[in-house]
Amino acid sequence: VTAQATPYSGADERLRDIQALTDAALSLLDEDALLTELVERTKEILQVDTAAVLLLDSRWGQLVPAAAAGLEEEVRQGVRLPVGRGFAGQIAAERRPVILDRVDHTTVLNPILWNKRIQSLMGVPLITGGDIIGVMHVGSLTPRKFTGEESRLLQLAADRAAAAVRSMQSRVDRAAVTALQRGLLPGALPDVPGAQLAARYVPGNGVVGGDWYDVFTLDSGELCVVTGDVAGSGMGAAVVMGRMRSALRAYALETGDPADVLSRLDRKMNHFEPDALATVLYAIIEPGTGQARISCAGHLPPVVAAPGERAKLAEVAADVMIGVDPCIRRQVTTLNFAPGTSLCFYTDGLVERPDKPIDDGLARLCDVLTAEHPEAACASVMAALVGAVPTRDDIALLIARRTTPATEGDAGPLG
Amino acid sequence: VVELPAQIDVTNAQQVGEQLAGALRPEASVVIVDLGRTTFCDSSGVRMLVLATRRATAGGIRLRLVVTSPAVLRIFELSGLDSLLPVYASVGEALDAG
Repeated sequence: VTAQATPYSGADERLRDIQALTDAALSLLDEDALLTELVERTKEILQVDTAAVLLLDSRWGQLVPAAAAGLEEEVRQGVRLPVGRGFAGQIAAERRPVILDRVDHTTVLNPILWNKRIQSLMGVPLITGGDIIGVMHVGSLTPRKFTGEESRLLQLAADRAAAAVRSMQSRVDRAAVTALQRGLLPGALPDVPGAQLAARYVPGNGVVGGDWYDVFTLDSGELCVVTGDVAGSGMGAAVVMGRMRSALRAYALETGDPADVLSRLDRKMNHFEPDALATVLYAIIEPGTGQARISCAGHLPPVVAAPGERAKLAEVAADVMIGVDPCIRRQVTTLNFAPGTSLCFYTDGLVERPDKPIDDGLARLCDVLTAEHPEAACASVMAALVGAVPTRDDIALLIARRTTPATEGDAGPLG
Repeated sequence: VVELPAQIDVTNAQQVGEQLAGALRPEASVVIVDLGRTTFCDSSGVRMLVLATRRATAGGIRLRLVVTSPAVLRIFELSGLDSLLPVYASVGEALDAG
């Protein structure tokens, strides 16, 4: 009743209000704050009783209320609405505005909306870069005919909201992935009698991917080194990487056979993450004897640098990557290293360059890698292969050297 | 028989993936992936072939590769792909393999 009594401001004025709204909102950093501001202001500008933004959870194909004004219970109660059914679901599926002059259980799926006695609803899709990312809707507690012009205004607010949400999501996603990556990479390399270690991890050109390395020791005193690369990038790849890393650690405690560890990991991935694909190399090294047992799932082989010799690619039997066929028989290659020899583990971002055969990159790595202290060797390798040019792919690099009595006390360039 | 481009890298891997997926029709029993013209393939190309293999196996389809370039053979060897799929020197040989 009051809504009818209030004179609307002019269309131009409301348009300006909407533009001001999202520019101000954009400067807020927190997604909740942005969306809350957005629905409050939309409610005011369109002089409605309720306003809500629902964001699409694409994994489930469901819309999840993210912010609401006059309809806070929708957010609090954690409703999830299927795409394709009901009022919001129809907007998301058909990617077009929907206006409902009558709200009841036949037109609206979400009981909160009809329990609230909303009489009329208008909703528009949130689309950015061709992708549907959510739905925004407004409602009136008194019967009201929303006009085409009002629908266009709401769409305008939604378009600007979509852009803001997307830019925020990618910022948040990047920050979260970076934090996740940082949390999953070993904070400090273990102190291993008989071996010296150094490592690098560099995210790719703005995109954090699924590369990782891991180093840990077993009760036997053996040193375990893992390098892996999950296909894809962003949050999805980083999460899969985290799961693979901890699963591999768990299997490493159960069996000392590296092929068995990778086979178990393959079965686990096949069962729980059937879409994932990853290369992994797993090496169990005895620093005392210099023996290394390596199983390789489609990953590039380590490079070996013996003192005073040119570095070369280790001859390691290559099995196919994890995620293809959990039943394949995986192989173990046993190699022996003299004291003072370095083993270099890495991901393909280090050696792969556009239009250059992989052997070129591998040859460069063999050219620069020497059996110097691993910290110095990491620096030389990164300087020669990466320099100052950002790479597209992320890079993980880990160098382990078997110590000799002469190098035992060598703390390296940082020591 | 699917013929793949001369160069397969991150810029066209997606298209190659779609090309392969299109060739894995349910009625096919053997699909020959012809990389006879391909002289460059990077890890994103290998991933697409691995994905196609996984899909083919699930659908009861066998894949055969035709490779002539040493650089391409090399990356297939490093990635273990050659242990998973038979590799032939020509489409004729791949067809004759029965």
